[in-house]
Amino acid sequence: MNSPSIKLSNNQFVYLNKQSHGNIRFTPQINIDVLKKEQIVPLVINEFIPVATQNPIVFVKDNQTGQFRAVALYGLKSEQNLMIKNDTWQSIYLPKAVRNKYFKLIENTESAGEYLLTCRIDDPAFNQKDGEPLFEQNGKESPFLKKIQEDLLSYLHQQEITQHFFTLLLELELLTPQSLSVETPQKTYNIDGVYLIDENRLNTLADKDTIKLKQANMLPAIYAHIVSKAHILTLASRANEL
Amino acid sequence: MTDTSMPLTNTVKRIIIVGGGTAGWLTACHLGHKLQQDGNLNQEIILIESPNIPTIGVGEGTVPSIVASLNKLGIKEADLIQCADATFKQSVKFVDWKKKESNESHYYHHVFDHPNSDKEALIRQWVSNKNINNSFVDMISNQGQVCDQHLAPKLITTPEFKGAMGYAYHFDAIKLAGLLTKHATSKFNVKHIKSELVDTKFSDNGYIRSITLKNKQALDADLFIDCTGFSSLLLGEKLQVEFIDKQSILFTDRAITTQIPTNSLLNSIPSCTLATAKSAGWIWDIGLSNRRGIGYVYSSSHTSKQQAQDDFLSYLRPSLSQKIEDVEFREIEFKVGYRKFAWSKNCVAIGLSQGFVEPLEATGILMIDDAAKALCELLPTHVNQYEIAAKKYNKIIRYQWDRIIDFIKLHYYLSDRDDNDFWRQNKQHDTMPESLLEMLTLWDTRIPSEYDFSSRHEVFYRINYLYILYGMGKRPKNLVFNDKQSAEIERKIIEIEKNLLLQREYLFNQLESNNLLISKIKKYGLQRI
Ligand SMILES: Cc1cc2nc3c(=O)[nH]c(=O)nc-3n(C[C@H](O)[C@H](O)[C@H](O)COP(=O)(O)OP(=O)(O)OC[C@H]3O[C@@H](n4cnc5c(N)ncnc54)[C@H](O)[C@@H]3O)c2cc1C
Repeated sequence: MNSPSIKLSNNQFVYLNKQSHGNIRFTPQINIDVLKKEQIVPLVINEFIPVATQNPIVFVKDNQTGQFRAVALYGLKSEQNLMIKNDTWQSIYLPKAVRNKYFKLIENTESAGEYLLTCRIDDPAFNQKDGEPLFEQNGKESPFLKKIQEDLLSYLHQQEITQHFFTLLLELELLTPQSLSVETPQKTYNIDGVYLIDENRLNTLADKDTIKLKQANMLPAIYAHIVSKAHILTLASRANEL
Repeated sequence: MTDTSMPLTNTVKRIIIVGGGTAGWLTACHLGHKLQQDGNLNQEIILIESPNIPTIGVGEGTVPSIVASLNKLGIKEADLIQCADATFKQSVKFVDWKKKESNESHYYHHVFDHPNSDKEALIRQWVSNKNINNSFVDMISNQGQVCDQHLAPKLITTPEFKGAMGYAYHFDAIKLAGLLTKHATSKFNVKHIKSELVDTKFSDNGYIRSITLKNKQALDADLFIDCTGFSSLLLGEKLQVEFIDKQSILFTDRAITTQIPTNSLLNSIPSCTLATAKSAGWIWDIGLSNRRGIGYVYSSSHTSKQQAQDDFLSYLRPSLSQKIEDVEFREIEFKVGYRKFAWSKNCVAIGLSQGFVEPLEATGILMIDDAAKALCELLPTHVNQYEIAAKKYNKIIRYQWDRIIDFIKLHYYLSDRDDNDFWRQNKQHDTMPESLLEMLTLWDTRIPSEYDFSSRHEVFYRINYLYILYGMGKRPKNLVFNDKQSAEIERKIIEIEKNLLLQREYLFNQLESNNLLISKIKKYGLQRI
């Protein structure tokens, strides 16, 4: 079986506060060793267009919840990321999910709708010497930290829109399971557990349903996905160069 | 072309279903769905349900055919789990149906997995070789072991109504009726009247013309479906269709039942029905997401009420966390058998009103589902075609009841238990249906064949018989296959066994426990695709 799956991280997130973390600094970085093994990376809907220019976007189910997720496909088998060569990232666009690995917003259990910032404090990206300070001398949140919170909030919002995207796709029966079979001169790769938008069905959709998609502003994402599928062949040729 | 048909009169316009139990509402859904599919706007369906006469309230184990039906009717699998406390059922696990050997309990699984034809070599191997350690089910399927581990038959990523292996459900009968009520009335436009039938008027030809309700409303209809439960009010009482009693074959006629709340966080939920044989019958034990439903089905001619209660209590006691005094019990009496005709004049009985045998293989809802589907297909457009349709319908339904009785009886006949007259008499030939004796005579020296099950409307097929016969260790006598020596077959067997083992590893790795999957589905639902 070769179905791409989203990895869960084991590292613990802790709540950030100025008492315990007043002196902590953070150096933004990408953990290439981890990324190297990621065949897929989750996307939110406003990332479809930048990703589509170079990589395929497909849909998979989250192993833990069965919910649909949009992902960028970077490899043809599990633990393969063909967009990393000589330890450097080869694509123009790096998904936010890769950058966001160190911080996470968690909903306040005591007051709904309010989010608390957490971070993976044990990671070496956090230390007392280098990088951006998280808090200022006077104990206030630093502009850097504020920016991170804003980004995460907007990411959360995009995640909701992405879920709505799937609700609509499912309602209009536009998703269809597909086994991808990718041929390279040396080898045929089979990827299961992937879902694509059924173009036939899209083209024969009743007008009122197409309008629904248009009004929800889902058409750009749908076409980005369709265009992006061509890059499965780009992956094949990268695999061939290995 | 010449038209040889009789003149068509009286198009069917209104169908009235009397009774709002599982039978009434499942039938309403099937008929409503059919009308919708046909785009038939000229017919209406009314369901009448007494607000005072309760439904039977038991009937919580099903077989896989229900999965396809619910899917077809457009019910969401996640709703079944959310609203009717459903859990997955993959087998009936029969415990103590053989005499205990040096105090060891015997058990076997009747699983829902239907192995493909390449397992035939394994079946032959198992049947002809007494030295095989594997049980029959383990030889050809992984599902018995999946059940023993309380694993679910599917993943959270598996689409609704699909599974890694065949499955059915356990559910809360009353909540299921509620779910079906909502579905039938909202999706299929079935009219729901809550009142009691108090009077029936007939036409000169003996057909039911109209019924009168307690609320004084009088309603006529072209077809009346009797889903009034054991009372069989229209078909049995009003139309006087004879009841064919089968208690001389299947002795049980009572059940003592109870429900025990469970905590799904603490208790794991078995993914099979437990059916444990006792001195005068057997006990069902069904795990729902929030309770267990348990019942002792017994023969009142072979044990006293007091003794049955004592036996039931001693089964319950070891697993009870509350005091036994706090547990409520219910007694149910039933008659085993069926109405001579399920369809007479313009009245069709479906459910307990049509017939009943003990729930050993969960045939109640199975028969309701099948009888409703058959009615949808055979129901003519005109009333004066009823007689012909009824003839066909009655033949099929009667055939199915007789086969169910054969199959249930087989479980008893194969037992070597002798702790009570109940078990000894069950093996006497004068209590056996002729049709079952005939089959057993043939199977004494050969493996059952698909040709033994040649009707298109069998209820149980060859594989079901194999699971029971060989689960009970009843191999054909003197069976020697020459192919045993063939090297090619040996190789093939090794290959199939290897694949089964690989599949087992995969399943054990991937499948979650029944209760974990159920709680996830409650939270996230299941995808349609
Ligand atoms: C002990 C036992 C265990 C069982 N276990 C299983 C099992 O595990 N699996 C399985 O598939 N089946 C099982 N069954 C069978 C199953 O319970 C029934 O097949 C199923 O519940 C259908 O019942 P019903 O709808 O025919 O009747 P009921 O549930 O009795 O419903 C009768 C309906 O008719 C209505 N009614 C009656 N008289 C009137 C009137 N005058 N006017 C208006 N309405 C009226 C009532 O209000 C009620 O709504 C079991 C049965 C018993 C007895």
